[in-house]
Amino acid sequence: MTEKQNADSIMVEPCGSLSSSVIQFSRLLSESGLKVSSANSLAALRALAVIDIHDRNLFQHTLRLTLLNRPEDRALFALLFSEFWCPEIPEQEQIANDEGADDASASEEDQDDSADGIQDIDEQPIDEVLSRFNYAAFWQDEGDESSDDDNSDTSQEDESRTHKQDPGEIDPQELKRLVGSLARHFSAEKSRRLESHRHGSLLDLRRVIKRSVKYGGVPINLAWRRKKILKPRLILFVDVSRSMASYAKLLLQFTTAVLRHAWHVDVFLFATNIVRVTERQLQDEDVDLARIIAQCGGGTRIGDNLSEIFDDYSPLLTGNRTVAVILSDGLDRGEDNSLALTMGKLQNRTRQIIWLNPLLELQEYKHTEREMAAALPFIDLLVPAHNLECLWNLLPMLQGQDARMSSVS
Amino acid sequence: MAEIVETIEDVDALIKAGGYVSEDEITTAIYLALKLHRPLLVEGFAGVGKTEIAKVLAAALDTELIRLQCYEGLDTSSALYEWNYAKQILAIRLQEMKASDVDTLEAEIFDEKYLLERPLLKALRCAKSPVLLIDEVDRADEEFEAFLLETLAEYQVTIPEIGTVQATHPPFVVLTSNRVRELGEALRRRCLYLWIDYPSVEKELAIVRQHLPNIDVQFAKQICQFVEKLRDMDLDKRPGVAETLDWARALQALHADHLDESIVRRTIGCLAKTRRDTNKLIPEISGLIGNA
Repeated sequence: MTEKQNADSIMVEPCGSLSSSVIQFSRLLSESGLKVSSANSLAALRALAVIDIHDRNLFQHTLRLTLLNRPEDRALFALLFSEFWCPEIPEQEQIANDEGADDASASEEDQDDSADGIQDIDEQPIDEVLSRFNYAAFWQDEGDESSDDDNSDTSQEDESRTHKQDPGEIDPQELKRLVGSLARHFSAEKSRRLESHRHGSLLDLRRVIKRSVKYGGVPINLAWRRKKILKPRLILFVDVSRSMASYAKLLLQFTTAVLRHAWHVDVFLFATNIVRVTERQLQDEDVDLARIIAQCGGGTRIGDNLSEIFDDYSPLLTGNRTVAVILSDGLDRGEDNSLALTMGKLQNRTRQIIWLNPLLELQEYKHTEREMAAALPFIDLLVPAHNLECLWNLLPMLQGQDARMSSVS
Repeated sequence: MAEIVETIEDVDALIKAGGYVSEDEITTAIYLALKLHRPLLVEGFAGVGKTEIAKVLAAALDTELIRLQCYEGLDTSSALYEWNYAKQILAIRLQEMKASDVDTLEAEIFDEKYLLERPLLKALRCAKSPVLLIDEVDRADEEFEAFLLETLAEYQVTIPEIGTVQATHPPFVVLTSNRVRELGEALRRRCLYLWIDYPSVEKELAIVRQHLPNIDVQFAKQICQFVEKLRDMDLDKRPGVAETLDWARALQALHADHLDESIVRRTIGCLAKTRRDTNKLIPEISGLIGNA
């Protein structure tokens, strides 16, 4: 549901005392997507106590100053304000909130057609694919040197029904090496902030002095500072819908490897719904991974699912050191503009957005999906991901991109 | 401080007296920030007058303006306080000769006279509530934001060697941000949020006339209209109000009284700040003047 439709469903008249109306208004704002906390509402009430509430402009300014947080929400706020507080007066600040309101009702009949044109839906439900695969045994099988055939070329011949490419057997050692080098790449960044450390290039004078006091002022024990090494946070969004069934194995193993060998990672599996998984769940035999995935459903709604992340997991996304990695084929069945909107928000809150798309190398797939095309300007790096070799290519691309970014800025 | 500003009209009068051309929203924001004693977060593009608000406020309230300029890697030693190490080492050396015990030595070393006050501590210890301007807070990193949040909540800090310092006259805090990076939710919620957009032609005209009283009204209007059209162009750095004022002053210094292609070309450095912008702008000049 778009913001406007949400607003319509709970529109109420201001009633009773001013305080309760203000609180209702802030609830309306919250449900429409502008995050308003109770502290904000309290501040609004306090502020209204010191102004002349009969002045409409002043009233609106006051509510806006206390309840609003971001300039891009201004248009929606203006709309909701006039509809809630003065419904009969035509809206003076008509900054049309076009993105959310009007296009939502646009038809979506093309979506299904183009999806079928690209590929057939794999009839094997995804949980069956994975139940054959025993993760715990996989990781213990160090001796299993089933090499990684480059099936990207050979499998194109037997494209009878499915147009997808079989990633083939995956060598656990190679996966481990790959993830290790990715980890090293990401964790190499230095910030300008200094932290104290056992060894470094700068003296930490404060600690030196403190320690010297017990020796009568002779600095015998030295303390050092060095530039802090940033460990960025990684968020993985893995598409586990039906259309991704044949790549599921590769991608989930990649995800597990990342969780295991790398840095601070959060993993979300999504299809129709979105679910967070931990390393234990991916590793543990007793945990029924298939059931978790079945919980996600079979279809794909990328934009709506990602926007749920903002609501529930917003602490993960503050600070701009997060790198978002989306592993999906981009075939979205959600609302029209939701993916573009959500990607815009994601871009603001993360450092990089990397999209790994297994279908990228296929001839038929040329970003025909409106949604994927809409998301393209927000993606920093779009990489094919249908077998391990492609994933290896990710590393030089990342390094190349970093070099370009640092030369531009 | 609250006694001076009883009503919004008071605030309006004070700000106008300080030479700031304000709008209803800005005046309301300042009034509420003073009355409720909440920090004010001002966001907007470069050059729209965010820092000016703090300066005008300080002048209006007849109090000190304490400025903390943020940058990446700013930490407590540069923002809050630092010990004067060189002086401390000298003192230690001198104390050595007296052969005193450790406690006396420590008490001597960690004394007020060796404490270097940085802006935040200074703001907390002021005798009269100052205006604390934390400029470009989006350039600092998350750790600094968390530290700020803590300080702004209680207006007190703890210096391990001395003790807790509580502000007797809490400062009025104004934070500015250029939106280079998105600030954390907690900080946003703690403050009143004010977004300042580029001004309309009328407002910009008023600002130009305020700063340059001798300028011809028609000429000033031409200047403002030109700049407004410039902002619609796709430039690397869009000109703000500061650039408009610079340009107006430059044109006045060159004794110009109307815009034509040659004079705009000569003074283009006031408006276009990169090579690409200059190259983009030069062919458009006559078009921009012509439509004014």
